[in-house]
Amino acid sequence: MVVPLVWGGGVSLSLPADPAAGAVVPATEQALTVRPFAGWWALLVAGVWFCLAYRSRDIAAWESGLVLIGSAVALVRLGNAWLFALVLVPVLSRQLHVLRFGRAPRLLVLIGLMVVFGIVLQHERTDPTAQATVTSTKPSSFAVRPPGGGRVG
Amino acid sequence: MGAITGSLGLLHAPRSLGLAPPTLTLRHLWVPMTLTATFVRTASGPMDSGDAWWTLAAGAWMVAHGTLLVVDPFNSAPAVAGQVNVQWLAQLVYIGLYGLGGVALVLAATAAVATAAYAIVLAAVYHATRRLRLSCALTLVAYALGSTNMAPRAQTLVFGLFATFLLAVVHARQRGSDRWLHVLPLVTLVWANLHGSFVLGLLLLACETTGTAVSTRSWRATRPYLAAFAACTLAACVTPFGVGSLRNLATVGGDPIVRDLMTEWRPASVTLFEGATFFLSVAALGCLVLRSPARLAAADWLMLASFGWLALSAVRSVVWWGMVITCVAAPLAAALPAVAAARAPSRAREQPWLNYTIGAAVVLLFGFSLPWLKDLDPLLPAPKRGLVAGETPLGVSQFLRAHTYAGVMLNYQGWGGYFDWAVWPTHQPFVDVRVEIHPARVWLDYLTMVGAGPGWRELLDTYGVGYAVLNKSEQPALVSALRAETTWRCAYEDEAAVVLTRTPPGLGPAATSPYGVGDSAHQSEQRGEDQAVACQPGAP
Repeated sequence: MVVPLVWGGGVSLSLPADPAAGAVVPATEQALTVRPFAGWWALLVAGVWFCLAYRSRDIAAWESGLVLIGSAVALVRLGNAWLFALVLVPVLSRQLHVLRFGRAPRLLVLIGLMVVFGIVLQHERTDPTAQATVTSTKPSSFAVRPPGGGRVG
Repeated sequence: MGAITGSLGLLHAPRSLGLAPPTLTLRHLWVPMTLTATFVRTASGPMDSGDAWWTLAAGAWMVAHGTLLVVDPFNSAPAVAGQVNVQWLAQLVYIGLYGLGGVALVLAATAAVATAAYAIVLAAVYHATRRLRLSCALTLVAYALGSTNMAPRAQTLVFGLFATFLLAVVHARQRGSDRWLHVLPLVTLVWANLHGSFVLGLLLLACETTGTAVSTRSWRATRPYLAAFAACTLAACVTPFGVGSLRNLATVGGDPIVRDLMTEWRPASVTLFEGATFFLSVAALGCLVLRSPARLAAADWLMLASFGWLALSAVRSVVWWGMVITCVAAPLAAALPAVAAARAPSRAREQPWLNYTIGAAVVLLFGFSLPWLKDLDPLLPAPKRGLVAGETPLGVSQFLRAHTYAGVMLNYQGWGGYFDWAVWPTHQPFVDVRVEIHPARVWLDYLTMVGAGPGWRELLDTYGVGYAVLNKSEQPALVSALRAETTWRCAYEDEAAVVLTRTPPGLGPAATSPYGVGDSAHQSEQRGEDQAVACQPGAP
């Protein structure tokens, strides 16, 4: 999961880049949204954990804590999603164990989820122009704003 | 049922003899407090420079011409073909309100409509739980999620209609009665002529219909929902545009400029207030779902998925999400052991004088939030005191009404709605807040021009721009670039706005500008971050 990111030197944990600082901000430096595929995937995996937890109704306190912390760091910066993926390993593993999944299916599911996570995150990181979206801190505005929070050219 | 049992026997013995006024209990205050909270925030805000003004302008145009406004007359930029004015009825409602009581009545009526919407949400939650305090608390949560969407505009008028859908669904589910479902086609008919969000009512019904079919596998149970859905779909076509309203919706939703550049259409993220509150609500709802002994129905899952996806895709949908989750979460919260065991404070522990004080405070808050009285409220922040938002370009509009210039007016898009109202037809704004009525090319060109990007001079010539009314803080690049041009001069400037005009051919700017803008030394000073004021503020 983390290998592609380490390979590309992309593992970092930080706050999102200031949108006003530059015109184009790579997707991994922005807060998580569903526009980039990695954001969509992160939410989907969180949803899978939630469905398993809802089915089992057996949730440890540390499990909820890890999910909340992992979600929070990924929400503020998509590039932090590697940490979210990391905390989901024990969390998902526990839920699959509670629901009596066999060892092999558990491993397969976990590896599958995480590999996809790593690949999509790596893709977003290395393809900033494809995901250069607009960022702004002004809510509910009707104003059209150019990429980079109003600075163009 | 603690709250209800606590409210029994409200009367003191003397009152039963008609000798004393009724005792005010906390139970009497929950609903007024909740609804006043929703009213106060909406009513005390000023009219912003977004949708409200062009809505009024469109309404005034229809009243003046006695016909339906279809093709936009206000903007000069090229428009897309096949425009559909879905909001025509809302425009007439707003201009009617304005005619009766001006901006103050527009603000007060909008707040009243928004409050009515959350009153219906409260009724729906109460139907689902029979717990008053819990219903009030959840209604406030719903309001908090939608609080940034309460400006005077067409969408605000329809929140109550969506809440009616929720109430009908909850009522049908809890009571097994389809009485409220019969009202929904009429509601949809009105909704489809007020605002394009009428499809959300259909979506809610579709979720309930499918959920009921899946969970009951009974045609008899599903039939009322299916009939209501079909009738509502037909009612949605009863507009001057027929099915054109539905087609228009798909066009607006898929417009790349709307999706990518409009703040309220951006996907939920924690950098936006609505996005942050949305994710907080998701976390809270997740905890509630996992902890509550009650289970979600299939329809609930469908509603959460559908409206959750909408909110994730565009923050402007968080307001609908708030209303939906309130109704979904209510039975879950009511089933929590702590909530189920909670009892209302006993009447013996209540202090009547304190209740009357709270009641008086609620009345005062309500009164001082009214647009006619809010100036008297010492607690209201200064920017909220006026009827019109501080960023509204009042000064420059006054100037424009007294002056005319040749060529097309390039304007700050955020002010376009107000210009539609205040200076049209003397001046025709290039664009306003209605992004969907212009092709993407226009917006890309607009962004290039106001950002002084490559080719901006040619674009100004292409569109025949003769003068520019710019926002100094939002469009500093073009302001600086035009100040540096010898063929442009400053005609007006205040703290926020500047009007720059092309000088007539053959006249040098130094000769024409009374403020010496053409002076090269002066120009070089203006290129710095702290730009010198070229015109006298408030000129002429």
